[in-house]
Amino acid sequence: MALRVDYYFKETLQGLKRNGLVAFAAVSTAFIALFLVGGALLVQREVGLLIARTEANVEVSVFLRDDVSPSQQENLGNVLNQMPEVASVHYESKDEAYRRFQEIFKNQKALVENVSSDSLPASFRVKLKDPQKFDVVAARLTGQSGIDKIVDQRNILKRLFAVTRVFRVGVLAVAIVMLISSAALIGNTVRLAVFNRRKEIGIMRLVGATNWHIRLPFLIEGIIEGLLGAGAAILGLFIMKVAFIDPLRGKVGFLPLVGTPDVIFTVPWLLGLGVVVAAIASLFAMRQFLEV
Amino acid sequence: MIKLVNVTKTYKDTVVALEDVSIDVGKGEFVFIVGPSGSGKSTLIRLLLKEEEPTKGEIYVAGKHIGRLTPWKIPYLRRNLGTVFQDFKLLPDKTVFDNVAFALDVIGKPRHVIEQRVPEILSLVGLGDKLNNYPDELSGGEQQRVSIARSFINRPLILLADEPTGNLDPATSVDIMKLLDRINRTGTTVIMATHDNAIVDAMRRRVIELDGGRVVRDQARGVYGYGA
Repeated sequence: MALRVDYYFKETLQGLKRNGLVAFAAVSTAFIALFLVGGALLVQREVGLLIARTEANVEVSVFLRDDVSPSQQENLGNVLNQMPEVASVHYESKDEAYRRFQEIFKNQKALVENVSSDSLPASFRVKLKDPQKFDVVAARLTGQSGIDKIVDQRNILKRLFAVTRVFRVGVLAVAIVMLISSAALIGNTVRLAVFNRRKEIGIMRLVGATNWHIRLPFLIEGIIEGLLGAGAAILGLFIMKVAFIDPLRGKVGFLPLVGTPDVIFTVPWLLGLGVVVAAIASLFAMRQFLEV
Repeated sequence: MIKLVNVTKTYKDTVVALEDVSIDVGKGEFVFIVGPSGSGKSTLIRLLLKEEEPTKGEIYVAGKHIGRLTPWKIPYLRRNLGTVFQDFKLLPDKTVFDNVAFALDVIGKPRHVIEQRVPEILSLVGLGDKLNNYPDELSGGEQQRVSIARSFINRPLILLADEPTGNLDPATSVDIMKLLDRINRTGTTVIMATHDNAIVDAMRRRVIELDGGRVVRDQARGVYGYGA
C-alpha cells in the first residue's frame, strides 16, 4: 500500500484545529512536565560539575589546640608529610585564618569586628592524593597530642549533595505527576477526536480501511502534541539559561555553572520522553474506542 | 460466494437472532432477504461483515471461512464487500466527490486513481453533474446513489444492501433497484435485506424469508409473500 503522506498530514491538521482548546491544555501540561524534567536534568549536571570541581580541591583540616607547643606542631607537620596518602600539607596560622575569615565575611562588618585573630584556631590544611583515604589518615593521627579536631570537608559536601538530591527528587516527582496528567490530557484529546469522527471511522471500517490506517492520524496528532510540549520546554530551558544562569557566570567565581552544551544534552531526552509519553497515551486512549 | 452452515446467533444467551440458518448463494446471484422487523435480517448482514461473530456455525465469504480470519485481515475481507444502508452513511461535510473518494483514500489508493475513477462511477450512477454538491443538497434517491457509487467503486465481489430503499418513495426506489440490477449484471453478487414487497414482487429474484431467526422459505424467482 502506498504511503499517502498528504492524507495523514491533512487528517492530523484537521484534528488539531478541531479540538484547539483541549489540544492547547494538553500541550501546555506536557510543556510544564518536560520543563521540570529538563530542570531536574540540569540540576543533576550542575551537581556533577560541583562534585568534579570540589573533589579536586577537597582538603582535610587538622585543627590544633590553642595550647599547642611549637615542637608538637612541628612533629605533626612531619608526621603528615611522611604519610604516603598525603599530597601536600599547608600550615595555616591563627593570623592567616583571621585574614581568610576577614576576606570571606568582608560584607558583614559586625561579624569581623567581633572576632579577633586569637579566637580562630590554627590548622594544617592537608590535601590527599585520594580523597577517599580520609579514614586512614584520621586513624594515624589519633593519639597525637596537640590536635583539637580533624574535619573532612567531604562531609560538608555530602550534606550539600543530600540537599540537592532532595531538591532533584522533589522536582522529578512533580515532573512525573505532571507527565501523567499530560498523558491523560493528550489521551483525552485523542479520545475526543476519535469521538468527533466516529461516523467517519464507521465508514472507514466498512470500506475496509486497516486499523493502522484509521489510527495513524490520531496517533500523529497525539505525538505532535507531545513534541510541541517538548519544543516549548526546550525553548523555556534556553530562556532560563540566558536570563538567570548566564548573568551569574563570572560573578560567583568558585561556582561552576551549567552552560549551553548541558541544555543541548537535555534536548534528545525531552523530545524522546514527549514522543513516548504521547504515543503511549494516544494508543491507550484509542484501544478503548477502536475495535474492529 | 456466500455460504452459511447451521449458523446460530444469540445475544446474552437468551435472545435468539438467528437459529440454525443454512444458506448457499452462488456467484452473480441476486438474493432478497425478507421478513418482519426483528426476524434477523440485519444480524445476517452484520455477520457477513464480521462485525459480529456467530454463536454457532460457520460462515464462508468469497471462499474464506471468516470465523478463522485474524483481526488484521478483516479490512481486506470488507474490501470485497460493498455495503449500502437505509441511512446512506454519507459524511455531511464532504462533497459528493470526496464522499466517494473517501473509500479509495482510506485504503491508500493513489490520487491519480481517485481523480480518474470517482467521476467515472458518479456519471455511471447518474450524478456526473453533482460532484461538488454536498449531501444535504441532494434528494434521498441521489444520496443513496452516492452511497451505492461508494460501495461499488472498489468493484467488490459482493454487495450487501440493508433496506436500501427504506427511506425512499416508490418511484425513487425503482431507480435504485435498476441501479442494483445493473451492478448485479456485472457479475457482482447482491444480497438485499428489505421490507418492500412491491420491489420483491416486481424483480422476481431468489427470496429467502426469515421469521424469528429461522429460514422459513428459500425460493428461486419468488415473491414477497409475507402476510399474503
